[in-house]
Amino acid sequence: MANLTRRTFLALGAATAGTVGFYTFTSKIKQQVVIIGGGASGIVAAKYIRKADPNIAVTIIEQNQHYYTCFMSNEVIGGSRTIESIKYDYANLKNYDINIVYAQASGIEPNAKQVLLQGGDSLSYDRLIVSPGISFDWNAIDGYDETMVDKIPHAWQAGSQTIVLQKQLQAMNDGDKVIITIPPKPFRCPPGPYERASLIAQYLKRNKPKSKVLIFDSNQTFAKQDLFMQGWEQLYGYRTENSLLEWIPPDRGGKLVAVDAKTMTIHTEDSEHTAAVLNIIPPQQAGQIAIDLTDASGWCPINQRTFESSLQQDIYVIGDACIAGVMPKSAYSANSQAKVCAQAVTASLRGVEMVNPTLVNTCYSIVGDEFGISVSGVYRVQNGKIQVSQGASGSSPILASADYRKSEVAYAHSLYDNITHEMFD
Amino acid sequence: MLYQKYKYLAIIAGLLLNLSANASDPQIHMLVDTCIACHGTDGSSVGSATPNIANMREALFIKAMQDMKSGERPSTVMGVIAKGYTDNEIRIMANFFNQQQAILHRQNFDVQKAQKGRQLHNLYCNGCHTIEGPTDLLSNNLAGQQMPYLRHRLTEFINDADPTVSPLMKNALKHFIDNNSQESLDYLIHYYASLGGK
Repeated sequence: MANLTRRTFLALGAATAGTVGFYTFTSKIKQQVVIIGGGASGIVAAKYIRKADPNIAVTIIEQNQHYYTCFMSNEVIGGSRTIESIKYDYANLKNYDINIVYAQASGIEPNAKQVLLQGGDSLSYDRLIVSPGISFDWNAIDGYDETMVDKIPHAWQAGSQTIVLQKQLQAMNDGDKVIITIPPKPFRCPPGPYERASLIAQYLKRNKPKSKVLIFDSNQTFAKQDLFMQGWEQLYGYRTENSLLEWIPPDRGGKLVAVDAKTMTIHTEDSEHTAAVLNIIPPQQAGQIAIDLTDASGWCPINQRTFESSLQQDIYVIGDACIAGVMPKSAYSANSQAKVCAQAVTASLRGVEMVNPTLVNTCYSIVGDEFGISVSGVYRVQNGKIQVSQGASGSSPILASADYRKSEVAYAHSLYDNITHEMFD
Repeated sequence: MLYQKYKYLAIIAGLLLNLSANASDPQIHMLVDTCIACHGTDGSSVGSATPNIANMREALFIKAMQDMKSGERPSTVMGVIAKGYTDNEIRIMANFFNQQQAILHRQNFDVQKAQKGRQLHNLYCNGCHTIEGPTDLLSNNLAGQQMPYLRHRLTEFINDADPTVSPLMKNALKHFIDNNSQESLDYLIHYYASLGGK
């Protein structure tokens, strides 16, 4: 019934007034959508499917009772925000009649259309949405693996790791070094490591001015590079003798090869560096549960119009885990993809064509408390690929007033409040 | 001044006449749902810098988007984002947001300032930015807008930073400042904030 227009429905209602009982009966057989992962895309997909069609039952499988947003977690690390302010729970999902199962999904059975849960239970689905975020390639860096994260955090999934890194910064002495290493692209939140370095530099400027943060990068260029560097010059003495921050690209020995946790030393191709605080951000791939949905890149290829997996029917992949054309792996992208996917899933369950997708990304980075920068874009599907719509893609101007930069911090926080409100309220 | 106003109205009336009434629900949502992560659910923002766009007059929505699309009106991300939509899509979005009821969120405001602001509003602003009932076609709903947003926008007006502001608004603001203290602008902001949720 849900795919009928209002007018046909009214006409139909008049014609079938005598068979109300039958209609009531059929509408009770709800189609089941299961979503693995209650993050920036999973929750939003759940809400938009319920909003589009209350006759579809939606269940989210999520392993954690609380969610810490990765977005704005760099402000926690830099000390300008509390961890509590990025902590959320799923209590309000009941207001949308969305079921949540706190469990770890251990496998997907595409033929039986079931998700297996750790502990032996399973859930059947008509359509499955996989939104697991990222996992790390623990074999990529010699000497660094997941057993060391409490000593050498990655903090690339927010929560306890965020706190570990924040406390290490607070505990280190003035004059000590901080090292951040950045994996090869693509990874979650392309400007994120540089924002983190900026906010650590801000913390050092205020608290440990003899210290320094060194960025060892596996990439020769990075997101919003000119804007970041302008901010670093203005705020942190970048390119001067007393710079609080240094960026080392691969052609100057920035590529990480190995880590010695015992001596807190990193090895690059031709040198070694010791620091009081090491933040190793490992190379990334799609979340573990999506392993059978990935290609050689480690990410999930999809039909970029519907977000349905290229490898499995009736399974959709959204958020950081999917390959979404030119869209960056950001929270806003994930949010936007979730809404398109919700329409695709709803249309598919109704057996109708979905409308042409429109997607948006907006991503702010905070270089300092009064220095924000942004990149944004509108995207459409052209020739089967998600591409920029009508040239609508760009970043903050390189020439901008102090007020402009300050206003972008306000917009960043405004975005954060609205996107988390949409997810959790 | 009046000529200017009628020029805008003529342009916008022309735009509205072409309004595509045939967009389906999924088509409308495919467009408007992209705005929400910044502008709040159905256009009611809980963030302090992004304005409420729920219940915004269609003509004003279209003018704002077109002015940012052309680059005439200064903006941060909106100048980029507006470019991604066709004129017809902008009309569809304008129509959708106009039909949404604004959910106004509670803010911290100074009661005395708000009371003074109310009197000033009735004297100087209510003719266009009507609080009870619809605003003028090209005037924003100010009731319950977040204080930082209001401050930012007023600063733009005062600094003459936005060439797309209507001459009416410029003159009204000049008239206001000529007759009142700078501080009294803040009273207005407190008044609009006081109209938020209980």
